[in-house]
Order: sequence, then C-alpha cells, then structure tokens
Amino acid sequence: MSAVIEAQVPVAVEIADEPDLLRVRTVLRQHAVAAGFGLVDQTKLVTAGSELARNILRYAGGARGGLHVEAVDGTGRVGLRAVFFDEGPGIEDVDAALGDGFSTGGSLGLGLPGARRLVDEFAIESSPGAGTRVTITKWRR
Amino acid sequence: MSIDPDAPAIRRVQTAEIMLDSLFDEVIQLDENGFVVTWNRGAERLKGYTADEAVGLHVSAFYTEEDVRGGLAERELRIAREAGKFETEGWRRRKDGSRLWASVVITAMRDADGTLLGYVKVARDQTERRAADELIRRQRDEILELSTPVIQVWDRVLALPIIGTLDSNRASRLTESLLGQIAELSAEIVILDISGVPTIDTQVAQHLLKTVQAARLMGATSILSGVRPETAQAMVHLGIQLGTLRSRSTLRDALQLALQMIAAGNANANGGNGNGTGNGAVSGLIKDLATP
Amino acid sequence: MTPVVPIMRIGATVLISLQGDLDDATVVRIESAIMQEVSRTRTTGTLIDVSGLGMVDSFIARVIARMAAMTRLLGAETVIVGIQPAVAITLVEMGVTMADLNTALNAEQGMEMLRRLTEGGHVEATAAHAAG
Repeated sequence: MSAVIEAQVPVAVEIADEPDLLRVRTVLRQHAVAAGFGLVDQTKLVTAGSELARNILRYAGGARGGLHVEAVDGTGRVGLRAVFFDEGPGIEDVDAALGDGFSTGGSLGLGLPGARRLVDEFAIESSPGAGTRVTITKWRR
Repeated sequence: MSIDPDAPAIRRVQTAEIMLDSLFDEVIQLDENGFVVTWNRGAERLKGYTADEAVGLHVSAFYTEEDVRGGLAERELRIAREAGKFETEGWRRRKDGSRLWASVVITAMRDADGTLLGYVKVARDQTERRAADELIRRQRDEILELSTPVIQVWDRVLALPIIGTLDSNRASRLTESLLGQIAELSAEIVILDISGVPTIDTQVAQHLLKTVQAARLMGATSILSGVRPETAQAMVHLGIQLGTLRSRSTLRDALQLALQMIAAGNANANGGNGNGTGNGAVSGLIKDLATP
Repeated sequence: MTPVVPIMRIGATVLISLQGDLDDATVVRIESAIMQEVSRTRTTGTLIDVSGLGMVDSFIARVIARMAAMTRLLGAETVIVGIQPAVAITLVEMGVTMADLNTALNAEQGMEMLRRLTEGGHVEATAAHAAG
C-alpha cells in the first residue's frame, strides 16, 4: 500500500525559499497520513519538520538544503524517516545547540531540542564547513 | 571410482536427507562465514527460496533491513561461535520481502580438533503465536483503558480517575482522550484523581503535568485530587513542584472546589489561567491541603 | 501580492482568526496588522482564534506570545482560543507551555474571559498574575 502512495507524494523537497516551508509541512503531513499515523503523531512530525526546515532557511546562509522522506520498516513496525540536510556553515557546538535556550539568531532556539522531543529517533551530523544533516524517525504507534 | 548406491554410507546420507526434508522446520547449514551450504524443504517453506536460490547466500539475506544495518546476523553467529549455541526470536525476511516471527537456534559445528566447520541453523515460524500474544496485550491495554473513562461530573466539569500505573503510552492515550472530551463537552475544569495510582514518581508527575498543561492550552483548569498527605510529602521529597496546580485529598473536595470556581466565574481568568508551572508554589500546594 | 489580513472589531475587542498553513512572513504580517489595529483605536481585548491551525510550531507560538505581551502594554488583554488537542499535546511535548497566556476553548468562552478580565481593568489581571 505504501508503495503506491509514495508514487504520488514527493519524497524529496528542496528547501531554499519561504514557500518551501509550507511544502515541507504538506509533504510530511501526506506521508504521515499514508503511513497510518494518528492525528497527534502527524502533528508532531509536521511540527518537528517545520522547525528543522526553518533552521535550514534561517541558518544555512542561503546554501542548498532539502528534505528526503521515506517509509521505513522496523522490527514489526512501520514508520517514517525524514532527513533534513543543508550545505551551510554547519554547527560548531552540536551539544550546545541541542540544549534548551541555545541561540545564535537572537531568538529562543527551540528548534532542535523541541523537534527532538517530538520524534522517536533523532540524529544530527554537523561540523563547520561540512553542512548539517538531521535525521528524524517516527514510528507508527 | 564409482559410487555404489547401496553402500551403507550412501544409505545413511540419503536417509538423513529424507529426514531433513520431512521436517517442518527449517534446518540449514552455514559455512564458517555464514553462507548457506545446505537448505531443506522446511527452509524453502519458511523463507520462499529454493535450494538453488539459497545456497551461497549469506544468512543476513534473511534478516530485516534494519537488523542488517545493525549487524545482527554477525552478532548472532559470533555468540553461537563463542557459546556453542545461540537461541533467539526475532523478525526474519522471506524472499518476497514479507516478514515472519521466527524462533531460531544456531549451533556451531566443530570437528574433532575444535576447528569451526560452520553452523547449523534451525528455525520455526512463530508469527501466529506472536500475533496472539500481541492481541492479548492489546486487549489488556484496552481493559485498562476502560477502567479510566472520562466522566462528566457536572456541567463543564470533567473527572478522570486514573487507576493503575501510568507509563508513557498510557499517559498519551489518556491525555488524548481527555482533551477530546474537553472539546466535546466544553469543559472548563478537569479533576485528575490519582488515588488509584500506586506510585507517584518523577515520571508520573511529569506525565500529569503535561496533561495539565495541554488541558490548560484548551482553556481548562485542572485540579488534582486523591492527594493524601503522604503523597504530598513524597512529591515534595522528590522535588516535584506542582506550581499553581490546585489539589485536594478527595474527589469530593475537588468537586466542591470546582463548583466554587465556576460560581465565582474565575475558573480560568487571571492572566495565564493561573495554572502555569511557576516556581515556589510548593507552599501553595501544602496550603491547599491544609484548607478544610 | 500580499493578501489582506481580516481583522474584526466588536466594540473594544479585536478578533482575528488564523487559518490554514501560515508561513513566517504571513504570521509576522498578521502580528503587525493586529498591533496597528490595537494601537490605532481604543482596544481592551484581543481574541485570537487558532482553531483553523493544524499545526503551531515554536515560531508561531513565539509570535503569539509576543503579541499578547505587547497588547498588554497597550492596555489590552489577549485570549487565545481554539488550540486543537493534537496541537496542544505537541506544544507541551516540545516544551512550549505558553504559560503566561490566557487561553479558552472557543470564541464564546474567550469573549466571556475577556469580559471578566477587563471588568476591573487589566490592572486586576496583572495583580492576580503577580500573586500567582
């Protein structure tokens, strides 16, 4: 069933301009619905995605960025994996960025820690000059 | 050199092969690196590959994608190698990509010198039994769920008597159900009765507070009931701060408070609904308990 | 082509309904429009209906909180109504409690709350808030 749905819903979204923020939310919502997520889990995934997409728009310094979504099979469960990547300047201190209250943009940096709390698995790879890659996974309950 | 088909050794091998093929279960042999050497009818039935297709494949071909990524097959072989035998249950993958839940025994085969020759792997399909277990678990959860209905005790006042342990999953379900009822019944006050919760630890307190916060975002003020002096003490001890969350020791007292609040029309007024989890309100909690 | 932000007035109350999918620029534009309206004429209360939002992320939440704080400085109380259950759960899970905001279930309850809050003037609300 999921194979048919994926043919209709885009699995890759470029994140370069403001309208892409909406596109990311829509695509994630569609995938979550197709994967059989309940409304609360859909909302959590879309919200997490919105935070991560915004990070790319605001902090990747105009560098290329995007989202890739795929359905995943765990041991006896199905879920969605979304990878948010950008070729921006990277985060110098990832640990600090994951702590609440971190901010370089002059506003409360709830993006990363908040998004992390909404998903089941969260992985981030980032270093100065190497861009950033955030992978989130949410399983269907 | 020709082989005499009637030789006892040949007969023994043939008998062994017939034995293997009449077994329902999968019985296969792997070489010392985990590649399939022999494949019986049971394996074909279980996994979907014919012997021709399976021989030469690495055993990890029958594991799920996620397990392959995690290196599970190598780990299991290693344990069999070191301990002699390894028994486990887990998801495996068939040729068509579908899954089965298998119980597996991997035994290391060694010659007289102790050199590892390979492995014998026996597997049995337990998918149905597991499905039955899952069903029982789900039914048990639902029964637990039914024992915690949201009750409308008054116009705009809901009560949620929580009975039993409160884990993450259950807390989520209760919260969703409660919020749905708040919307449906236009509730302004929610009484969370915890007299049926055996232990209030930091985690349970967190679940409760999140529920209270979510209810507040929907305009409903919460009152905690069933908080006995010992419970209050335990919470203070654990450093659990309830902020401005009101509490009473009995459901009846909580209902009385709820009605007072509704009558006074200040159920959710006063800048922030008065339910934010601010600091230094522990004294407020104790004061509430002391109020007759 | 920037769409007009529909703001309603009922007496001294400003009402706005946020709907659909809002990008950051739109949210900020709405905030701007509301602040202009509140400061332009005598306003004692603002009602923001978010029942049409299927998602509220940290940015939207921040702007709403900022708006409520600013309107209070201008002498008006703000009430947020219609936060959907899934949104409420998500906000709390994220750690965004919006603890200083007035919230109500719907517009009706929200208007009732505004009435109560502004009866004795917003001074009463501020004092009660300080008393916690």
